[in-house]
Amino acid sequence: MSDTVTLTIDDQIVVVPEGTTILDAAATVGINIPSICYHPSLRPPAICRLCTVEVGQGALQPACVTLAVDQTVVKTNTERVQTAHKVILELLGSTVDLSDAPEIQTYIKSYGANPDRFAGGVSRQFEVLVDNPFYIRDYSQCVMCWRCIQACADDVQYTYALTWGKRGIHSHVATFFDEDMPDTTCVFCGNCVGLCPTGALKGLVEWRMAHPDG
Amino acid sequence: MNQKLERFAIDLGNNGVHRASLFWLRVFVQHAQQGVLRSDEWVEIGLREGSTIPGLNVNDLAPRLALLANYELFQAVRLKDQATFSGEALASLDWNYKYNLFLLPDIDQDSLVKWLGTLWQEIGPVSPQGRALEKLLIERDWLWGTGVPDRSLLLEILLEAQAIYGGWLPRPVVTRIAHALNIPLADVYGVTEFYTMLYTRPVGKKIIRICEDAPCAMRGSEKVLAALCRHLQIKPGETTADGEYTLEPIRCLGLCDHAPAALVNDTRHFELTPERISALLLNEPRHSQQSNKIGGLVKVALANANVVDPTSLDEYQAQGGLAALRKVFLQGMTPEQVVEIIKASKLVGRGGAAFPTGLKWRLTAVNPSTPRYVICNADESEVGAFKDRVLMDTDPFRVVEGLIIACYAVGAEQGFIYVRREYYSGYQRFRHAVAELEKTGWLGENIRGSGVTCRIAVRRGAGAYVCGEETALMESIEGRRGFPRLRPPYPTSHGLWGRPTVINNVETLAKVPPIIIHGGTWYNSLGTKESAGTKLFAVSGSVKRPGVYEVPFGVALRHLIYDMAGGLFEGRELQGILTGGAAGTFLKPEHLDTPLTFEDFAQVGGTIGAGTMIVFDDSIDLRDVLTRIGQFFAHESCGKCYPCQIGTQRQVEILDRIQNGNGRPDDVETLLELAQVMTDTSICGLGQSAGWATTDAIKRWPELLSVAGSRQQGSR
Repeated sequence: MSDTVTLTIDDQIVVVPEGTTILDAAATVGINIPSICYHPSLRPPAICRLCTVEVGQGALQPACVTLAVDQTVVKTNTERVQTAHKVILELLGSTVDLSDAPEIQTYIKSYGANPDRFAGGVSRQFEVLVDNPFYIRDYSQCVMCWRCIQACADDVQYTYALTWGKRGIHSHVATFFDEDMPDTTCVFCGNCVGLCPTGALKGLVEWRMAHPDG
Repeated sequence: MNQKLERFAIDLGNNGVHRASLFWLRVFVQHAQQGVLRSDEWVEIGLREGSTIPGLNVNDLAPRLALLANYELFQAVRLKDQATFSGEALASLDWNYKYNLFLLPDIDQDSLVKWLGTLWQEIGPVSPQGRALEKLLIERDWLWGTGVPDRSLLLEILLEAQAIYGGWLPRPVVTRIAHALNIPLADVYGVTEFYTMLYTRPVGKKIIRICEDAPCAMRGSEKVLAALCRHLQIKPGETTADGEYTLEPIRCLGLCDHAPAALVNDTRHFELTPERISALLLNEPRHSQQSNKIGGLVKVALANANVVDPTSLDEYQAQGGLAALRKVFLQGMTPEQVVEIIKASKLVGRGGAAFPTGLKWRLTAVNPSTPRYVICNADESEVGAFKDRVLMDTDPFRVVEGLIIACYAVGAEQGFIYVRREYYSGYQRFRHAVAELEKTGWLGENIRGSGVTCRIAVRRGAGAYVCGEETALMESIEGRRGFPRLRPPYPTSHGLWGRPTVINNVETLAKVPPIIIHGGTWYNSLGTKESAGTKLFAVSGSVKRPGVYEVPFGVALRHLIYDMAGGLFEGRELQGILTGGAAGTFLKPEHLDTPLTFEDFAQVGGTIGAGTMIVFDDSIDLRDVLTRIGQFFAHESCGKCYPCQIGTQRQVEILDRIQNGNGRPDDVETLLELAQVMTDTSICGLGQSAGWATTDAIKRWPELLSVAGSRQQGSR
C-alpha cells in the first residue's frame, strides 16, 4: 500500500501511515524515545534535541518532527545517540534546578548522566515570582521548553502574554517589560501551568503548602 | 499670570510634566461651565478628542493625575457625600465615584483660556519626538519594501524610533509601535530583548563599542578598553553618570583589517591605542571611514573597488556597470538563459556553505508557489570576516545589479538586502544605490519597458550574528527574534513568509554581472577544475598588510599570506592560520604550500568557508584565541536548542579555566565530546560549528589545552 511506510527502528520492522513522525512510529512498537519539549497538543519546537536519533548514515535527526520514510533504518540506541542524550541531560542538569522534574531525573539516571561535569558555571537563578492569586513562576526550574510561550500564543490561547527575554544561556520566559502577570494580557486560563514539565509553573495553593511563609 | 500656571508652563518646557497634561487642562477649560466640570464627562470627552491626536496616549492616567495633584489648580467634590479633595489627595481619588471638579477661585477661567490657547499653539499636546514617531509610523520608508506585512517593518521602526528617542526605546514608545503595527506587546518586547543594539534602558549620547574578538584583541583592544574605563571611571557595559558615554565591549565589528577597531555610534575608529583614546571620546577619527587595503591577482568582484566613486551611478556605468542588466533586459534574455549561464559558471555560494548558485536559483524558479523572493545576505558577522564590508562600501551598485538579475532569473518582484546594523556605511551605500537605480528606471515597475517589475528593500539587523544564518535572517526580516528554523523545508521552497526564496551572499551576487557579460566558461576557467572562478580572502591577524585579496582558486596559501598580505612582522614565526573564521579550522606552517581550493583544503583539513584567514605568529597565545572564539559563540547563541544554548556557555567556561591554569584532567575529553554533541544535535550552523575550532586546535596541538600544557604556557 502506498499510504503506509515500512521502516526499521532498532531492528524492529515498523509499518505506519505516511506522515507519521519517527517518535510516534517508535511508540507503536514500544520504543520510547525521550523528549522534553515535545507535547502532543502543541506544535513541536524540536529544541530540546533529546529525541535525536540516527537515521541511515546521516546526521542525527529529531524524532519529534522527522517523518518516517519508507525503507529507512532508524537507530535510537547507538553510542553516538546515547552520548548525545547523555550530554544534553548533563548540560541541562548543570543549569536548571530539576528537583521537581521527576521525568527528567529518570532520564538522567537511565543514561548515567553526570551533570556535575559541567557544574560551577552560569546557571538559571531567578526569584520566585508570586504576583497573582493563581500560580507562581519559578524560572530557576525552567528548562525553556517553550510550551508555556506557545500555549499562550498561537498554539492554544491567543493571549500573547509571554515572550523570551535575552538570548543564549541567559534566555528566559518573560512578560512585556517584565511586568507582573495581572498587568499583562494573561487571562489566567491555566494552560501554561498544566503544560509545564517541571516545577517552574505551579498553582499558588500547591506552592503555598510547601512555602507557608513565601 | 498666575504663579501656579507659570510653574506648570516651566515644567512643560523642561519636560517636567507630560504634554498630555496640557491636553487634559485644555479639555477641562473648554468644557467647564463657570469653572465646573463633572469628572466622568471630563474623562469621556478627553478620551474621545484625544484619540484623534496622533502620538497622544489618552489612556495614560499619569498626566491627568499630575495635572490635578501637582499645581493646586483644582478641587474635587464627591457627588455622593460632598466630601472635598484638593492638593495631593487628588492623585489618589477613587475613580469609581463621580466628582464635580472646580477650578480654584484664584484661577480666572477667561484669562486661562487665552493663556492656554497660546501655549497650545507653541507646545501642543505631543512632544517633537512623539510627532516624529507618528510621522515614522504613518509615512514609513519606501526603501523598506512595498506590499510587505506590517510586522516586517518592526526592526526598522524600532531602530528609527530609537534614534528619535536619544538612543533607546522608552516603554510607551514600544507600546505605541506595537499598537501601530498590530503586534502583541510581548512579541515586540521579545524582539527588543534579542538584538543587542536595541536598548530599553537609557544609554549615553555616545556609545563606544570596542571589539574584543581575536583579531582586535591580538592588537591590544583590551588595553584600549581598560584605558577608557579608567578615564571614564565606569566598567565595561556601563554608562557615565552624566549620560555622555556608554562603553560596550562588542563582538567582531568586521573591521579586522584596521584592528583594534571601535565604533562610536556609527563612526569607525581604526588602529586604536590606549594613548589616543581622545579621538574616541570626541568621536573625531583622523582617518577616512572607507580606507580599505585591497589587492590580488585578478579583479572580478573587486574591479571597481577603490577606483570608482561608490556613490556615483555615472562612474559605475562608465566602468561598464549595468552592462549585464542591459544584456538581460534589453537583449531579451529569458530567465532560464540567465540561470543556465550561472550554472555553467559553476559559481558556488560565497557565504561559506558553497552551495551551487545556479542550482539554488533553478530550484526556486521552478517552484510553482508565488510570490518568490531573493535576499542579499549582507549580515557578515563572523570573526575575521570583512570582505563583504569592503564590497558594499566600495561597489554597492555591482551587488544590487547582481541582485536584480537574480530576481529576474527566479521570477521575484521583491528583493531584500539585509545588512548588519554595525555596517552603517554599507547600509547607506545600498540605500543610495537602490534610490539611484529607482530614479533612473532600473528598479521599479516595467523596468525600461521590459515589462519586468523589481523592487529592492534595504533592511538592517540590530546586532545578532545568528541572523547571518539564512532562516534566522528570514525570521528577522519578518519582524521576529532571529531564531533559526527547522530544516527541511528549505528556503528554496519555504523561505520568506513560507514562499520560495533565494538567499545569496554579497560576494556571490557581485560575481553575477561579470559572469552574465563574459559567460560561464570564462568564469570557471579562472579557477581549478573543482573550484571555479575567483575568491575574496579576508586576511587579518599577525600580518603586515591585513586586507581583502581576490585570487583565482588554485593559488598557494603562502602567496596569499606572504606576498599579498605582506607576511609576518620581523623576527616572528608563523604558528598557525585559522581558516574559515571562528567556525573554521587551523592550518600550520607545513600547509603553506596548499593551493587555495576547496579540494586541496579539504585534504589537509582547512576551511575555505567565506574566505576568512586569521594569521597567528608565535607571540600569540592560542588558548586566548580559543577562549575568545568560545565567548563569541556563547554570546551569539540564540538560545533556541539546548545543546547550543547551554553547550556554547559550558565550552567557554572550560576553555576559560584551562587558560587560567585551573584545567581539570578530563577537560580535553569533555571539550571533544561536547563539540561532537553540539555538531550532531544543534539546529543550525552556529551551534553545529561552535566547537570546531577547539576540536581542531586539540588535533593540531595536542598539548595546547592539556593540564600539563596549560601549566607550561601559564608559567611563561
